[in-house]
Amino acid sequence: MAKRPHRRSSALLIVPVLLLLAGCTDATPNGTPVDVTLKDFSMTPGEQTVRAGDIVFHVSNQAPVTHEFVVVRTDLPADELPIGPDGLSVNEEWLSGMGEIDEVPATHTGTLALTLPPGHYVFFCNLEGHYLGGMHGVLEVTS
Amino acid sequence: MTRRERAATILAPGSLRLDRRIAPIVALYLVIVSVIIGYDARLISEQRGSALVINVAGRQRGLAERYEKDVILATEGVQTDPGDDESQLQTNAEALLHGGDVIAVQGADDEVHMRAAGTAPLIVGKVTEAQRLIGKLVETGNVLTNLRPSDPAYTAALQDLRVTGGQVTSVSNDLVGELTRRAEASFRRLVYMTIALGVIGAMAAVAMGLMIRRAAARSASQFRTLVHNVSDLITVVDPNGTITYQSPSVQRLIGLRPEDLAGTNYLDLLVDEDAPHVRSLLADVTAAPETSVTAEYRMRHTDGSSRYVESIVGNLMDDASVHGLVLNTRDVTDRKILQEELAHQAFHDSLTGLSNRAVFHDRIGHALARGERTDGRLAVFLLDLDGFKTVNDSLGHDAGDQLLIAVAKRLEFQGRSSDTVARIGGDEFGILLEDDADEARARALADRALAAFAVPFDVQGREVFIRASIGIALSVPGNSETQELIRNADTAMYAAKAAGKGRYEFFRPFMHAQALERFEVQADLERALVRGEFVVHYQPIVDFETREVRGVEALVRWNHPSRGFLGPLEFIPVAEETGAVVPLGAWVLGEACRQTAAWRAHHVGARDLWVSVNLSTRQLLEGDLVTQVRDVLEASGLDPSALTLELTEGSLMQDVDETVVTLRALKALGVRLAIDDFGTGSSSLGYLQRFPIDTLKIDKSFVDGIASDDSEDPALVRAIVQMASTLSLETIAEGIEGSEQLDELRSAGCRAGQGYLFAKPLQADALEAFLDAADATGPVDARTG
Repeated sequence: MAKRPHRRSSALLIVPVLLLLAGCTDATPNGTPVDVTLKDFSMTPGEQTVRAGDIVFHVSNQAPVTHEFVVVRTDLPADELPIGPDGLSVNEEWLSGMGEIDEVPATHTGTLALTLPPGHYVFFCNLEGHYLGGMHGVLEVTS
Repeated sequence: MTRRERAATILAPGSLRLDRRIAPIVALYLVIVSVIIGYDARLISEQRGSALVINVAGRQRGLAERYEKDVILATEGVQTDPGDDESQLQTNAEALLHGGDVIAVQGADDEVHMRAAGTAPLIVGKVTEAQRLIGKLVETGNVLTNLRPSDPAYTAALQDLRVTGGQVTSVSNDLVGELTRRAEASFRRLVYMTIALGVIGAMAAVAMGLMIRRAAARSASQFRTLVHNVSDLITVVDPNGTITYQSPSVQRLIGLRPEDLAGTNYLDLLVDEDAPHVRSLLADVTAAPETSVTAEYRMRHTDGSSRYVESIVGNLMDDASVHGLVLNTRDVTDRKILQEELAHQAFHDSLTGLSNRAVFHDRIGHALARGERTDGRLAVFLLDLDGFKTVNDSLGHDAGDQLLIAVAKRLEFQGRSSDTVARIGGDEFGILLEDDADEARARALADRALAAFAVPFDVQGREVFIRASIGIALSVPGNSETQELIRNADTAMYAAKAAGKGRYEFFRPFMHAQALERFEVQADLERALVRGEFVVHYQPIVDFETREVRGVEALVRWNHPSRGFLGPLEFIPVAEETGAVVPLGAWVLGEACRQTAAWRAHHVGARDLWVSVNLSTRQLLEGDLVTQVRDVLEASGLDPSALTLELTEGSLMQDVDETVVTLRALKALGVRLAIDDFGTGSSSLGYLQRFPIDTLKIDKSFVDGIASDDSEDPALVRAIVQMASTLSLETIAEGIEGSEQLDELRSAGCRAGQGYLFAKPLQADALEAFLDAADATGPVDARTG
């Protein structure tokens, strides 16, 4: 008589446990890690070099506000990307985008897996005033 | 707990226990509901605040852009006021961080209080960043305001302003986005919680309902179990007595099933005479709800018997679950029967079933009180069995009890139903004649009562003759008391006994003196023997032919300290009654034998002297007479043939079979036997033949009659003497006082006798002198003594 309620409550416990397990199965993609730290308004390290192939960006947002993370392949220096008509953000249409993370919320780490051939790559946050405020960096991919 | 409270708990168990069980359920429900409502209310108030916060946060973006534009226009010489935007930006930023007054709607002047955007670190971080950027924006704006487009630093400063403005915009957007997300989440929670509240509330309500129902059912089943199992009867009726509920134990009590009773009237189950009482009781209880009453009445059983019950009746009309009068009924029949038995025992004699002494006295008291009002008289009879002790002692107490029961039946049969017949104690009965008793009616009843004793009683297969003496006292209207009447009847009864028994006497005032005397005698008798107050006198019995003293009759005298010498008639009846006659008789026997043996030894003329000693009925019937006589003869050394034992006809007839055995045993000892006072009793010739008698003593009354001319006594005496001669019995005449009597007796054939003509009873020394004189002068002269 007294034991029946326990069975019922244990059934209720199973649901959150399953949800936790589901979160763990979010497997980290394989590839050469590239760690980038975001702040208001900077990206560090400003320049790094990796070998071509599968690359995984680990973008850690340590700023209080949300940022984005855009990777483009360009020969231009990181601080000379073309600016759009608003005068406040990079004109991405003129660049060959490789991939991006739309939102890296404050205190979160976003990952972006890209297969990059050798070349000069620039990554930046393209929210209004962020790129111009200094949020950009260079990734040199060597063969 | 009082009887009433106990009854109330039994009758209404639901209310109390139900409440106690439901209280936690209700409390839990209230806690759940208030938690949900509190949480809901907080969410709603958060929603209201967050709308304003989002509005203000969103407004910062527009303000920053306007500030930027105003600063640029100012550098171009246009009249603008970036300071107003600046102050609003900073006020809002401060308010978003810490809470504060802000303008309610953009463009208006009303201010409202706004809470901080949030306390979550993420929100605080974003708001702080926004504030920092606004500070930077204003700083940049101030730098630019002081420049002109023509200045070399202008372009760079303008760029700074625009970039910072963009950053403010993006950060504000981010903040609004985050706030909006949170507001949405909060709203979703509100919706979910509201739904949950409804669901939990509904579930709690259902659960509570179920629990209440279960608790009520459990409580009801407990009540039912209680009510079904108790032997007490629980009945619920409406004020008219119609049964609405009946517990099953009714079947045990009156044989009807409870299901047959619903809808019928409770009063119909009662013994008819008791129904009105219970009906009025129900009315009383209906009228006064606060009271509970107890009633005792009878119910009819289907087997035709009736049961005594006791009910506690309570009013539960106001109790919704009962709505009726509740009778808690208990079978008290056994108790009642016991009570009645005890009452009967208290008022009745357990042996005969007649009223007892207490009731008799009580009835007399009531009759006297009634008589005082109506001037009526009443008669009190006291009836005492004559010789009951003899029956008891000779036949045993069981026989005595049987005789008492038989006597009681006969007496009861004689009275009218209005007369009270009672057993006063022992062998004494009382009869109360009520309703205008007078001497004639009392006489008639006394005659009937005595006549009832004429037929022998059958006791243990034996015929027992017993008689009764009755004393009657008539009340004097307005001047009699119970105790006095009983005392008077008692005195009259003793008078009847003294007058010869088997008769009745009305109380007369002079009897008191007699009774007193008798009482004194009785008291003194017990001491007299110890004190040696008795003496034996001897009356010579003389041979008519030789005039020699042949024998003496021993006669006891009481030398009473204050009254002088008393004759046997003055104390023997009392001694016979009390039993004192037995030791007295034994003493007389011993004394007479001792004295006679002495005379025979020491007086020449007394060598053949014999002594005649009277035996009482009790001596004859009680115990060890034969042993006693043998012992006395041995002790005194008297020749058995020198001892004559005298018995009355009456004592011989008490128990003929037993008496014959005793007499034969006495004869075997060698003593002689005589019938005293012959002719006065009712002995028949047949009996005379059966008893081993040697002598008949002709009663003085016959001898007295010889002298008178018109008497038939001479012929009777002659017949007695002839009959005695035929039976080879000697005759001795008693009470001879004159010489004509002596002549007549001699001519009738009688050989010996005693009387004043020869000598009166003499003390021992006087008799000695008498004997000595006789020795000296020859045979007794008729006039000597």
